[in-house]
Amino acid sequence: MVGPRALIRWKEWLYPPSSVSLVVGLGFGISAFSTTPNMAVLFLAAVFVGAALFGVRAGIATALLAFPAWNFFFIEPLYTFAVGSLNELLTLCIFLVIATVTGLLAGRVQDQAQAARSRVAALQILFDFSRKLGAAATPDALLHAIVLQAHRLTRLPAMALLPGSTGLEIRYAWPPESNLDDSAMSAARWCMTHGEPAGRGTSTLTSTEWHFRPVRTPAKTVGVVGLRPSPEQRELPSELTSTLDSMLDQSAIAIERLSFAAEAARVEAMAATDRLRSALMSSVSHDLRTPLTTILGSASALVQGRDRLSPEARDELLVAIDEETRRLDQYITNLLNMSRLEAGELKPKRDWIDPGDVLDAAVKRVATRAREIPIDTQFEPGVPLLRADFLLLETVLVNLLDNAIKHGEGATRIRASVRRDGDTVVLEVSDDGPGIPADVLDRLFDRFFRVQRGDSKPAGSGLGLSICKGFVEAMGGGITVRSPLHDGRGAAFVVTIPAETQPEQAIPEAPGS
Amino acid sequence: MSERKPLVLIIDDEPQILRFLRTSLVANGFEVAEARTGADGLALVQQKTPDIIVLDLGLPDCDGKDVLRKVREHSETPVLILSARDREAEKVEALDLGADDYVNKPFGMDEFLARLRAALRHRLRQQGETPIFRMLDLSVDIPRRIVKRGEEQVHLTPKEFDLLRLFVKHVGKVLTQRQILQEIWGPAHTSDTEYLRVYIGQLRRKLMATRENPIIETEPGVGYRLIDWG
Repeated sequence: MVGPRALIRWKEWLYPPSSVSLVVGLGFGISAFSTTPNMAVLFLAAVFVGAALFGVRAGIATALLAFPAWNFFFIEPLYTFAVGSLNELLTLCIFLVIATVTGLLAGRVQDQAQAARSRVAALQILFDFSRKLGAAATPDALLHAIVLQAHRLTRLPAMALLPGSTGLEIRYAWPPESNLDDSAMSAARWCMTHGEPAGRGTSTLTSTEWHFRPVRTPAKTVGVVGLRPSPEQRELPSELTSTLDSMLDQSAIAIERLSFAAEAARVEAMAATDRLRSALMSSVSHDLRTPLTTILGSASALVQGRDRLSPEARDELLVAIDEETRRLDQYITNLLNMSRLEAGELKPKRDWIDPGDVLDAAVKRVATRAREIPIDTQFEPGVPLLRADFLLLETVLVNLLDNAIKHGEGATRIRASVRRDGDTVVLEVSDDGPGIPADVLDRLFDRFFRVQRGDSKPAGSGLGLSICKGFVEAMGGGITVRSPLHDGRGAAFVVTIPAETQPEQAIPEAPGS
Repeated sequence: MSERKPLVLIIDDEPQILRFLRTSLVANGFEVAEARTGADGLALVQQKTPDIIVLDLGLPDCDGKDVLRKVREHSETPVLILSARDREAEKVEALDLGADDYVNKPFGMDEFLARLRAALRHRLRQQGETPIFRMLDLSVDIPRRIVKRGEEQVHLTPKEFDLLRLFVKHVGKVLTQRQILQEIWGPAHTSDTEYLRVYIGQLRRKLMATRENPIIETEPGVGYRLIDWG
């Protein structure tokens, strides 16, 4: 096979005789029709072209051939090599000088062009590489890219080593079967600990077959890349190592980026857990303590002030104990439900239930709490039965009613209704309180989310609505909220549960019963 | 004390807590004013000049400590803080800001009333430092720096005496570690709590304190108080 360099060499030797012959032929041709041209200039042109195209050697060879040819064919006495005058010797000298200078200049230009070409190639490789690095989402993909690119750049076996649980480990190698012997491994370790190249072609542990270069971030050495030069290569060419080093610098940045990303994700996850925990803590602390304070305070007041308390005061305290105990129970139920939802243990029963009964029960449960705001109930006739869990649905409605009572400052009434809408049963709880700010509507069902109204403290645990959503969805339904309803006030929570094919009437109703 | 019933201003946002406090305070011979926000509370402090303020630190519109700070700007009305057992830092801060005492939620009515009365009494007593303080068989003659339990004289070092004198001056009131250190050892030593522990230990020993009557009670994480036996 003939490489491009060999081709140039071959042309280099062919050029001087052929160009000189051409000039001689040209000279004779022209002189046949007209006067003999200035042959010195023509030969000079041949020398110039030879030097420019093929370098100093070809130029000088052309000059050395051109001079005798010119002398022999065109200078009196013709067809002798006798040098007639000093003038001719001077011409020969000029030929040689031109050949040398032109050849050197042309050679430099060629070298520069060659260098530029290889820089472009290296840049192309680096560019491809940085694109691959940018795309690598895992450390494995990254190492894979590094090893393949190092191999592509150097045409040598390559591998990447990273610190693992048992010290430095080979993570990627190309060809994949490459392995390290003990001396190579210790060179790799040295390279890792010192952050300097080691192995063949370096100044440290040179007896091994492998050459190792560190992958360094400003802070530390994150890994090592190894190459195995061919046996005759004593060291890697410096342009290769500098390209390799800039590649490794990029890799280090990419590795750092990945580890930052991983760290950020971990911190974010921890922060989320922390937020959840502190939300739960503050919720438990506030929502358990307030009813407990009332219960203990009222009970101890009853004991302590046995004979001082008027019957009305006594009633007041007893009612407080009654209400707050129920509230506490509701809260604990919610907490337990939350953990059941969380643990995925919630399996709704699938009984046939009358949604009107459920609404009725829920309204009765909150009745004592709703003393100040009347609850209007509307039961549309002919609402189908549901295959659902009575207790879960009741919990949902109790939570919704509770919210309406708790957050409906200035509300004049709460409406609770059940109706049919095509194949679904719709349960709706609405109030004409201050409503819900538009910007929080979509977060309303998030766990521990609490609406902060104006500058006031959020009330409640932030569990109720997320439990409602969890329960309703567990029963195959959905829950939505609308606010405001009219005049910028009010909120409506709408629970929809699909009604299945209604059960056969097992026992025909006896007429008149 | 005059015939007038003492007026208690309760600043708390939980209606159910307001309700039972009102009921039982009224039954125990107090008059009650209520505020559900800090702003309302401050307005009522101006309008009604209550004899004592019961302040919940978790208020809807602002930090309870800010209310306390504003009250203290122009009034020495005793303030009883409602807080939680696990919020020591909050209580210490409130006490440093000049609150008189605190009650942990949930609380029994006896404890609450006892603290309330102690704080009221403390204010009355503070009008003038009594030259000779007597409680149970403990007597402290402040001008002559003589301390006795029963007939037996207790020999105290000057620092120990200063410490006891501080407690006597604020009998029944919690003093935060910071307040005591600042008063006795100066502002440069407000975090040298180990001094305090050593001196309290010595003082208790010399005053022949027992487990049943430690004389100086430790308020965990907050400070110390000289038990007020009335």
